[in-house]
Amino acid sequence: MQAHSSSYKLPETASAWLRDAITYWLDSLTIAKYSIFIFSRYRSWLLNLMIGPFLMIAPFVFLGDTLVGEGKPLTGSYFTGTEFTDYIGFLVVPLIAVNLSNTVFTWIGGLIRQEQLMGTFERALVTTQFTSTMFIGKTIAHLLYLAIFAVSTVALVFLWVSPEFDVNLTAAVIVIILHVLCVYGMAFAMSSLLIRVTDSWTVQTVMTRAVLSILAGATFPIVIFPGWLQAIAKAIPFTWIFELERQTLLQGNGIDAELGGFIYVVLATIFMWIFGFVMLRVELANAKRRGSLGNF
Amino acid sequence: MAQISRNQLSLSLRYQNRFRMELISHVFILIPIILAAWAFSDGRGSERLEQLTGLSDQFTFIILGFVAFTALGIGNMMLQESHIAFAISYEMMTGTLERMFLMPVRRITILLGIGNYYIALFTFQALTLFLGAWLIFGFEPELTTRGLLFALWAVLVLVVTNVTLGIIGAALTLAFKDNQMYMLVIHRPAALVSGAYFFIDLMPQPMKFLAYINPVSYAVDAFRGALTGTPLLTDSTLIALLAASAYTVALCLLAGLVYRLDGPNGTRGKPIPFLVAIMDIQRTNRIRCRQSRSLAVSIRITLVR
Repeated sequence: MQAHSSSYKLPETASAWLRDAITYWLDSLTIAKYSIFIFSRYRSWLLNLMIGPFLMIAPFVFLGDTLVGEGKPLTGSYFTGTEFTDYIGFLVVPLIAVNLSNTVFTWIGGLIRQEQLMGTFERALVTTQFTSTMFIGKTIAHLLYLAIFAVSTVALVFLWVSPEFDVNLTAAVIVIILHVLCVYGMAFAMSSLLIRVTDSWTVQTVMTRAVLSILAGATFPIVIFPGWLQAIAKAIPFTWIFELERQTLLQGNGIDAELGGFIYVVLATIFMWIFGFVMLRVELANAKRRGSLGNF
Repeated sequence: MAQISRNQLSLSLRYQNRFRMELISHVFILIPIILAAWAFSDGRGSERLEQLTGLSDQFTFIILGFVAFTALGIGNMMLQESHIAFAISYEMMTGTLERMFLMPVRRITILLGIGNYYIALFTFQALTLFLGAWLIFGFEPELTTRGLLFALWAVLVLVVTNVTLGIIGAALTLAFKDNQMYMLVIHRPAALVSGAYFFIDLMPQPMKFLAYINPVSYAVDAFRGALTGTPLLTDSTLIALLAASAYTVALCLLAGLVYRLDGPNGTRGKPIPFLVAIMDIQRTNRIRCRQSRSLAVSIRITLVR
């Protein structure tokens, strides 16, 4: 927790800790309510809920229909040893995850940029005692949307293509929760890191929709890369998350199938959360000092 | 119009990261598609594609479709902020839309001025993709004089379609005050059902029906057919081109209708309910524009600066 005032000191008594914790929670709820209010003004969310996921996933499934053939197994050399034979499941699982992740990057990653653009960033900062509640509040609001979006996406996918799932429920739930935490962590980190970049949204778009979606191998196995690029791809947490999700949702395997990757993602997620909150404090202070807080 | 285009260019240059992304984003979007196709067909050749289309090289099939789609300029998921509709949305968010619309020129001129920048951008993207695939990756289109002329015709159709869809998209953005509406109603569906990198006949109904009434499908197919000799939607490339051109003319009429300002007080023609809001804005601003021409001129000078 960090207050926007530089004179803020950590509480010394238990009651002071409790008071600050309650304030933090109330600040977060204020931001969540504000976010839902803003969100409700843009009615396209309902349309996005109904057709957005389909429009994101369908082109790749149609590409699979064209090159593999509907109902035919994946037989290429790049799939040897992967045990994945159903291209629909292979594509749909990570693409659902990418789709949901993109909403996080849009909501949280673009949060500060959007406030700057609309001239309300300073107002939002002075509304709360703890600035990081901007992230937590927005996350609370986004989780409501994410839940509806996830249900509608999965329902749509099952109605449309009915992928052959073989789910290890416990492992899948753990991996999905880890994925959500990892995405939020990355969104916090990027949003904080790029406060002083006037077109920060662009940098985030390149990072999330280009670099991550290419290197993490959402739609193809990363063995297609040369060795050095595979090493870079394996440094990206989402590469492991997609693999874990495929293993737990399509193969019925547990986390132990990729235990090393799982531990790596947990550590990366913790790092990104800490980094995001620390950088928010540092970069806000820098932006204030330079007078560039409201620049866009 | 030229001044507005320059203004749009200077605005883009101000955001240098975005400008750089506009120049290279088409490559970023293409890479996952190419790699997925490569993995699925275990290389460049595809027996399955040959059975379906008569073309065995999936790389050429995808590149040609994507070049055409890049010329259209609305298929790039990374360029959600790079289009006429989003330029208008940006002006709305920053509170400068009214100031811009007070300029003593027709609103359609403003939109076309913005559109010029995007025509140049997407032509650049299509050209670099085509040349890059040809010179670096040994992409093998059938280059004949007739094929090249037809391909240029298809590109022209796509560029004009790009502007007209942008204008209609701007109308949606203004009417709903929501730039995602344009994305969901025009941008993504046009991408999905165009068949830029898959075979349309494999899509289930009603997607297949939508593909066959989608002007973008015919333009993409005509471009690909012109450079491979095998159009897929029609019997000949010429028919696909004529169909795409006819659709584009219809879209131009629709776009012109949306921004028609010739009637008394700008009120003539309210064909579609959701466009009424725009017409109302137009009428109000037209009267304001007459009343404050000197102010508008000074604002225009400011904008140019």
